[in-house]
Amino acid sequence: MIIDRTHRRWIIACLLIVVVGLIMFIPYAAWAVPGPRGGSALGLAYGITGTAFIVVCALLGARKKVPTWRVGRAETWVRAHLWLGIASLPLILFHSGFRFGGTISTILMVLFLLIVASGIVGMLLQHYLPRKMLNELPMETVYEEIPHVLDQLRLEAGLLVWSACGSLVEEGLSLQRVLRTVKETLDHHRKAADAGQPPGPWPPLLTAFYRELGLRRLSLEEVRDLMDEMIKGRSTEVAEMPPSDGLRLKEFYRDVLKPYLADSWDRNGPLSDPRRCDLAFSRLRATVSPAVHGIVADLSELCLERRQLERQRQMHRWLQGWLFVHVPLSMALLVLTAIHAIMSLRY
Amino acid sequence: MARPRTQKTLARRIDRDYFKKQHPFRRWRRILSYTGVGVSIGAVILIALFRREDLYMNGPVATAHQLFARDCVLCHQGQAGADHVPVSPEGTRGAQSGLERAASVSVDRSWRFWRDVTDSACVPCHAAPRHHVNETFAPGCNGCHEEHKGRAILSRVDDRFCLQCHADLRTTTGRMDVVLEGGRRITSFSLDHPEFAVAVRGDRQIVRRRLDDREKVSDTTPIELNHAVHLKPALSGPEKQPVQMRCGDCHYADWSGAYMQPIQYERHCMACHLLEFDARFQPSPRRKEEALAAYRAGRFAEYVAEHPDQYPVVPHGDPSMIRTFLQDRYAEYLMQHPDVAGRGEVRIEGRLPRRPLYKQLPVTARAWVDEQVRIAETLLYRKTCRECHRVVERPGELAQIVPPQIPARWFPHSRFSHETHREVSCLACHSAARTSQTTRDILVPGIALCRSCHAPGKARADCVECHFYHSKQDREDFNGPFTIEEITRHRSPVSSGQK
Repeated sequence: MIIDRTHRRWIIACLLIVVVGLIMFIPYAAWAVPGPRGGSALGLAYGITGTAFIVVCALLGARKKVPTWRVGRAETWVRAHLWLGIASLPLILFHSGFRFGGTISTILMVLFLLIVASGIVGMLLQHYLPRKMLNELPMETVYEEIPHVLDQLRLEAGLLVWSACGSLVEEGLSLQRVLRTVKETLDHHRKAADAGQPPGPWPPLLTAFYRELGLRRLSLEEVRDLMDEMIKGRSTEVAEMPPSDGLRLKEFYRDVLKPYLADSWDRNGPLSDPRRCDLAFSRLRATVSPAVHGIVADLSELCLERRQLERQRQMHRWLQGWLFVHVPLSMALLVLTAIHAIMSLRY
Repeated sequence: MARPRTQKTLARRIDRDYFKKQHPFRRWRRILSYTGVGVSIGAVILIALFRREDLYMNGPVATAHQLFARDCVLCHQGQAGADHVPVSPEGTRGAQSGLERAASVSVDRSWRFWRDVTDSACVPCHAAPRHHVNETFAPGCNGCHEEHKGRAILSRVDDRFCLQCHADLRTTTGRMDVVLEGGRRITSFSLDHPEFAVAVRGDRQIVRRRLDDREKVSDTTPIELNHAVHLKPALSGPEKQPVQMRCGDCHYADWSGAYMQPIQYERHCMACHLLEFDARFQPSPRRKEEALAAYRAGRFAEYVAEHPDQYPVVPHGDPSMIRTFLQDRYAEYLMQHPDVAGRGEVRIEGRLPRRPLYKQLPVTARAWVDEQVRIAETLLYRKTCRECHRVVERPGELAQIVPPQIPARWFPHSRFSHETHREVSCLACHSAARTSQTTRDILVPGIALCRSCHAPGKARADCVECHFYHSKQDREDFNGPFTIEEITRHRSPVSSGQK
């Protein structure tokens, strides 16, 4: 969430609450006979208000579970979470009299400080990173779909190289034959489904094709559609290409490009660094005939997209990683706060 | 030909049902959240199983209560809203004696939600005498003694508790012993604490006089001592050698180092001020080195008693004892010198007041001894004893020495420890001793001198640094209500009959 002028009302309201709390706390701390304590009337008032703020903050999670409920706009809930959460920190400190206290209250205070700190870190990340992603990652996609998109990139890269070399999986095997097999298999599966029978085993050709190109998640329909487009676009270029170019491309594909497009990211790989990547493609371009330069440019663009997807993944980890601290600790805090309230009232 | 990258191709990349599949990111977040809840609930269950409710404490209990630190119910046994035990007219909370209080003690361990602390949890061990007979309000025990504030000393209460009353002091009678400047406010030692008031002998009783009340404040102790003379250089010491007296020659601290012990003639004065009474009792040649060694060892009085031939002096005691001593000595002298009783100087009393007549007349032994005792007593009570003491003489009666009764503590409402001030020289605080020529001078320092060290940012200057709250005069003896087993196992005490 970007913090802009629309947050002004929340900021002013929370600031007002904290300032009022502070104005009441100063004389209370200076002159209250037993000193500032959580058990005094004012201490309890601070505690109850702070806890209420925390509960409202925690309800954001429940609100997300039922987005269809008409209980305020999601934006309002996030703003409330943000500013009431920050305002609850001074209130809880006033409640405790700036002391950690006993075992449970110390644990509570440490948890609370960690939660607020992680929340502020998250707030800053959510403020800056989305804009950075927008500017730096034009090829950004849905985060959860990155592995799926990587599969597609691998398919595209494999088909490009295949179209240039004439064969990839086994000698003499053309793309058209693979496409035909894909279509036949799909047809067979559809008929089997219509007949209520289980789909038969995959042809060995397709298994070898998937293994060679490193495909894991793509369905046959997706492979078919992409192959259709690729074959239509590049059918003329294949015939004009010298065989040595095909060998070089195949070698580059197997040694450099395919590992680079794998799910796991090798930060020290030859294509991971943009400058080294440009250098590698320049060298490749210099060793092949101009007829293949178009394919080399496409492969280079695939690498760029792969790098952006990895960058998106890293940024997304920053964007969401703080929640691994924030959310579980918040759950523990809620339970322990309830226990603390009950036991403090009892004793 | 460029690689196809249209909106359609990009859109086809995304599985439209991707959100239905849980991403590992979300899955792990959920797992960790459940773990957080589980660990918290598990911890609470373990605390309940192992009966470690002390973990819920707001802070560690005070050092004095560490023995009961894990047994919350021992102190938290009251009900919400229960009043504190009122102060009895005799000045203590609850029953009077430890055993009587013990009879009323029972730890309620039945399950009950509200577990407040009331005074009844404290009084079995702490009788808590009242603060002042004129106090208008007596707070509950935990109104001042804050528990769960770490391993602190509970009696070291914050000034704010004292200022509940002393910031605007009122008494049941409407008057106070010591008039405060600018009304009744005492809010700080360094700001508005009045000048110290010493306890001195009044006409009939001990009264408190402020040190800045120049007209009234004086030491009325019936004893004479000239500090200035005693601090002069090259005084004639025991066996006439020159000495420079120091404060520590006469002023010794007690075992705790807090207060000075009373001055004792035998220990502090005798070596220089021998109570000689008659020149006829010539001492045998003194063994000076032995006597000085005994003096340095603090055994001079014993040495003198063991060697009466070297030191023919009267004992430092009451007049009847001195008379008996003199009669014995003169009787012994008469037995050794029988011829002195044949004729003697006899005092002839006339009816009209005039100078007594002395005539050389034949006297009996008894009359001679009585006459010598009278002459010696006259010397002692009109000269020697009056060096220090006030002597009351009435015709036909034994002289009376007015007991000095030097106060051991000049500030009965506060405490002081010489031990904690040992790095300061005596004369740095008691500087008036250098020039004091009379006992009437009060040599204890005023508040201004204390404030030079005891001030905010320097040495502590809080109320309890010097003052007690509960009157120590009403403190009970050491016969408490509990046995060792009751204390260690946190049980209620058995009845007084069983004990």
